[in-house]
Amino acid sequence: MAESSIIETVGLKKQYKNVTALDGLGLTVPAGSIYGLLGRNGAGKTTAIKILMGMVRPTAGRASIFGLAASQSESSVAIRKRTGFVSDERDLYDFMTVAQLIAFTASFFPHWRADMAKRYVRSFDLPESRTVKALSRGARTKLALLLAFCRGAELLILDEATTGLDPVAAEEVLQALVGHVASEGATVFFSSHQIGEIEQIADRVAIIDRGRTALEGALDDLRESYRRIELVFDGDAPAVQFRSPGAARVERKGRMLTVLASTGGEQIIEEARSLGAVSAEAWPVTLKELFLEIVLGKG
Amino acid sequence: MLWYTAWRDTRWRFLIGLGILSGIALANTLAYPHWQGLLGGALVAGPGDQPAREINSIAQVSSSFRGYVWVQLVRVNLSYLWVVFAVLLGATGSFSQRSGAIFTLSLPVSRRRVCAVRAATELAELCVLGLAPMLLVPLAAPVVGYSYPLADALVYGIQILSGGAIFYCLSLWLATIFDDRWRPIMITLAVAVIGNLCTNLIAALAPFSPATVMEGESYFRTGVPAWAGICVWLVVSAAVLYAAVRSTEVRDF
Amino acid sequence: MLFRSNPASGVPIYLQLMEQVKHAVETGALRPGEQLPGIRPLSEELVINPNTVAKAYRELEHEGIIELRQGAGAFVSVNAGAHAQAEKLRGARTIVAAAVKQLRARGVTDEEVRRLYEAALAGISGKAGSSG
Repeated sequence: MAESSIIETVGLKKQYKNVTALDGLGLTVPAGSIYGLLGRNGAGKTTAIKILMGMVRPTAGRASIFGLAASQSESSVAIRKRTGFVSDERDLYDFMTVAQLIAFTASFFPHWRADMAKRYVRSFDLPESRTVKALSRGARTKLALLLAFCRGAELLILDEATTGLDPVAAEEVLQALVGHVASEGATVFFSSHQIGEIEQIADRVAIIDRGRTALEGALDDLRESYRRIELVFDGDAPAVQFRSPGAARVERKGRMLTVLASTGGEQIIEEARSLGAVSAEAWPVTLKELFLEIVLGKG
Repeated sequence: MLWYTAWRDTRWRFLIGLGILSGIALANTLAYPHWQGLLGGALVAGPGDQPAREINSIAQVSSSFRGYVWVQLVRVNLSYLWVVFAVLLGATGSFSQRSGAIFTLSLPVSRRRVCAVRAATELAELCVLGLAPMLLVPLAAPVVGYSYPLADALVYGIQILSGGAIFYCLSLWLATIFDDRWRPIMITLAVAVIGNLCTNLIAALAPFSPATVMEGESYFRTGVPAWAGICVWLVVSAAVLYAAVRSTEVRDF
Repeated sequence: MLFRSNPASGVPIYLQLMEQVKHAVETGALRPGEQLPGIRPLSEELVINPNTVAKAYRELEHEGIIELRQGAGAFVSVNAGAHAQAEKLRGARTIVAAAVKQLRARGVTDEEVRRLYEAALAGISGKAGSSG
């Protein structure tokens, strides 16, 4: 399915006065996917998203959505006609009521789905005459989600959509997201530092660390190809450089070698046996282990 | 610690206000010799001498209703207070750090359009603020038994708007640079006050000041509106307004 | 309901779903000709990516366990049982082949392999030792 990518960034850099927020971020989001951007707080997720939304200009590199330049003022407006956005701070007009804000937003989108808005107001249990300021964080998030869903957008960009929500509200948000994708076929790009939700709904993931893409790929591929290989030796484990290309990280501890392999687990096991390993076991790697390994294991 | 936080939060407003008010007090004090000269001259000189004629003319002006309106309302109260509101309105920029800036930026409208609509609204409001009070004068004057020409009201109103617009634009432009509301307000007011003091003390600068247009002396004396001043200051204001829009377009949020 | 997903297990969710469908067919919880939940309702209920459900269904169709009928949905094939059986044996064959290969690599003779298997089937536990 060679479809063009909806979002593409190449070598994105953003330098503030004395902080490097992004240091060469590259990623590709294919149409129809739910793409998770996973990273620690301060890794650059919000900066990347703000660049995509035209709120921040990159210092170097380029970002494009629907093939349009994200940093160019006119194409950014064209992008925003087809994109729904939820900011990490759920920034909305505090002084408006829920109903007023919905009407206000609807006025900007000729393809606004009023029927969908009514349905979501009911299912999200949003009090129409209450001011936005008086809403709980969970209700604010759901309102922001409604405003993003009902505009008939092809792309949804969500910055930390479930952060700060209790587990019930978080699950409701994810459920609404998944339901929306299933019925409308939108592409979703969402950032999170919560591994659980990425594992749950993303089909593609990128790990961003210190402003760079540390890893990118289909989640299922990562699950199927990454392995943690535990090797036991008779004497002290040798300090070995594996010839197999997939040996991503090797840790020595006493008689044991632990290898994080991105591919070719069998080759590594064979190599290990030829070096005298008495036991070799391959275990699947969870996204959490992979993430921690990448983010903490870097020298 | 409460005291310290209270101080920290308010210190700039306080210091700048202190600077401005102290400046006024200082200027008044330092200007007394000038007044003393006038008064002294009036006391010893005959009615035909220069100092006496000056004071005489000021008193005479106030004795006619038209003159009174000019001297009291247009020259001082309305002009100065209008500038204050112009500065206040300019400082509440479209993307200030109040709620909704990021939300607005996520909508499919250009920053230019948001700024333009905002500026147009505020300028329209300022127009009303400048014209409506003036137009009340011909309406209310008959109550106290006087009449006031509508033309005068309009001209003074328009001159206040044209001369003072620069302060709105300056405040607006500063609001695109600073994230808080207070610094644009304080800085613009400081510029207005200090500028006014300077042109009062240094006569050579007087023709170039927006205050000259706003105060409308030439119209009062000669019946001819200060067309040159109106045009010049409108052009300068437009330039600063454009700078404010451009500044909004290129900054990061 | 009938299905669960464990996103944190390290096993791709679509494989988990496939396993559960096949298991349901084997135990009779799903009968040949019965309809499976639609992609949208299932993804909403499990709160997982609809693409994942679609992938699982596609793979199951590829293996002949289910049929995807245009506009109507996913249905268990009439000979799904046979397919599941064949699939099970195919998987089992792979496991045995791998085990035999490993045992031979350790120098265990074929005769000993046969005896080990029989003992295991009979329930006699072998010596507790390192796996692999």
